[in-house]
Amino acid sequence: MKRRSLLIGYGLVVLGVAGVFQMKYQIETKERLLRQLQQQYLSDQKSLRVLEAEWAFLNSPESLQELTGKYLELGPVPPDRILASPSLLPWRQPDAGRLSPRPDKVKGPPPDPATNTGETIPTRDLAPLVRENERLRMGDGG
Amino acid sequence: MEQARNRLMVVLFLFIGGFALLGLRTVDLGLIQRVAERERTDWSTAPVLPRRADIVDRNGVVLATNLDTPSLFAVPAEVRDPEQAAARLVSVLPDLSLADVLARLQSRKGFVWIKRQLTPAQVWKVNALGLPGLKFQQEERRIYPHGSLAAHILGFVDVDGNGIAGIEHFFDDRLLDPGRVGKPLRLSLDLRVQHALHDELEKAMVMHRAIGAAGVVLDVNTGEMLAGVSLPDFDPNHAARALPMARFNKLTNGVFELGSTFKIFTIAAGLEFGIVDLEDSYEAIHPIRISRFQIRDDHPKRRVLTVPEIFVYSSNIGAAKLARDIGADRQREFLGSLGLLRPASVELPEVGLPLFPDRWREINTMTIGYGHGIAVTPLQQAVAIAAIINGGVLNPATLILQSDNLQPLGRRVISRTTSDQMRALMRVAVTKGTGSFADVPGYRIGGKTGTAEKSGIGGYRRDKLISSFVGVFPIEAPKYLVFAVLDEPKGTAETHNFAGGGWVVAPAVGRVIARIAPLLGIAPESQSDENRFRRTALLVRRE
Repeated sequence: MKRRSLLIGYGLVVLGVAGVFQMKYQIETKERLLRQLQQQYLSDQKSLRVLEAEWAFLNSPESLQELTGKYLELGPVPPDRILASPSLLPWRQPDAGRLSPRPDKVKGPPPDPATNTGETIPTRDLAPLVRENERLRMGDGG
Repeated sequence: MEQARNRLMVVLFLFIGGFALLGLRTVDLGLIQRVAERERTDWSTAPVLPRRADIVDRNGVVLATNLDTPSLFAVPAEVRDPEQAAARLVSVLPDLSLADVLARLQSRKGFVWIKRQLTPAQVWKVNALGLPGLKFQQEERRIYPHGSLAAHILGFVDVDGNGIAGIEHFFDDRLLDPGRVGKPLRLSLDLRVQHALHDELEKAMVMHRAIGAAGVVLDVNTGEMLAGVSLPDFDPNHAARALPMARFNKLTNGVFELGSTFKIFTIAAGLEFGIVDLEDSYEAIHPIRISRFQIRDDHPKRRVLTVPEIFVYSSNIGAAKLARDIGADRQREFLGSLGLLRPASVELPEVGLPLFPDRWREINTMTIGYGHGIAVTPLQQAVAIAAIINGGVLNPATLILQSDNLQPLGRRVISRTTSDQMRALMRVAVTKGTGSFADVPGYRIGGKTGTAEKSGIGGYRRDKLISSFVGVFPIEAPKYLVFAVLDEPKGTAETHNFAGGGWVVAPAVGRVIARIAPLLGIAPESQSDENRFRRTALLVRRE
């Protein structure tokens, strides 16, 4: 009896020691990981500053203007191309969402541009598209 | 035997007591005192802060930031062969002088700088030399990603990161304050507007071979500067290389006799003090002779001119006569209330002192009536004009973003009625008068031209001009003001060799407005506004 409890005692001590060492090694591993993450965090913050400066440099209006002139056929918008309200656009439903469908995407007979204004596009053909637009708007707007 | 057993027991209890103490201490460290260990790991989650706060524009675009750059230093005691080391260093860093580097390497100090703030390529070359005793230290360097774009506003710092000029100097304490270094300083500038103004002024300067230019875009209701340009300019990343002439801020530090844009103040004073109304007229047939001067018109009409005609055709004779009727005291008081007789208040150290006569005689009153004999900075001129057209409230210029809910601390200088009349005059000056080249259909620009002769030895020089234009839009409820000045422009074939404000600056201001109005959310109006200022327009007879 005495012998048995002594054995159990020894066993518990060995288990305890093994457990403590196991915990110590785990903590060391975690601490190493923590230090690595901290290093990573510091260097990420530094590169963030560098990247922000680089972003500002690459986006400087002067270089954008130069690149636009080189690769794009875009220019400043003259005042007569700017409308005060989107409802002034042709082909646009008064109650349609921002993403108004292009006339060539509308099913059904193509409207005659000479006679058609926004009001004469058959609304039933547009309804699903308008609903889709509404759905998209609700989805991205939040 | 009994004795031996007792001794054993004593030792046993000592050991048990000792281990019990150790165990208690372990529990104490592990459970009760672990706060101390927590603190040790906490430091590194704090953000890395630069030494100097960033500067951003109103939309958050970075205008100035700090980046780590290596600087090269030497420990002279560890350098083996100073002569050879110096020669090899100079071969990879050619801007250093051999004698200087050698002297430093042979010094008895424990630490000498060789070169501050190297580029990555230079660091690589120095490392490739493999010289002992040379080391790098990471230092912060101020970077201006947009180069010269807002150079005069931002200013620059010295190699140790202390502000030397511009915003960097004015807000040096704020930018270095450890408590606020993580929060960028937000300016009122809009980088897109700044670029549009810079770009157009640069083009106008080249086209008319001017020696300099200055310009500003103001929010007339808050006094915020959306853009401020002085040309020629410099790259603040290499400010030490800039010529003093390029570093000089013409916008806030240069004082000029700005000419006819001063007629805005003369006519506003005449209307405000009830000396004239818009239907009154002055005879402008003959030049005025007073003492040894002669006042004549640049666009002579040789007839009786109504007050709107004096403004729209920019008649010096009419303005001088009106100024004489206002009188020296009232004129001086009026210009003083507009802030034209003391340095402009703006967050820059470089602010010029206006020049005006000590004794304000009749001849001074008359010439000041059309903007000669008084020299002010373009910025304060713009601020004063903004007060005339915004409903009559003077808001000092500011470079710091004003929050929307904060009411600007303006001071009323003229009545709303006078302000309305002045806006009508400025619109008619563009539709029917000297400012017609600034008109952009849709944006309802009101404006006034200014052409002044520069004073030189022995009087005014007719070939050296200061040409300016002030444009305000949209004129029925002004939001923004663009003021631009060209220093000594020359006429071209397109301008029929004229170099006045209406010919050389007005088109540039019109282009600036056409570029910035969509950015600032000003919707163009397709209908003509001809009827809005019809009553005033009818008072201006076309030839």
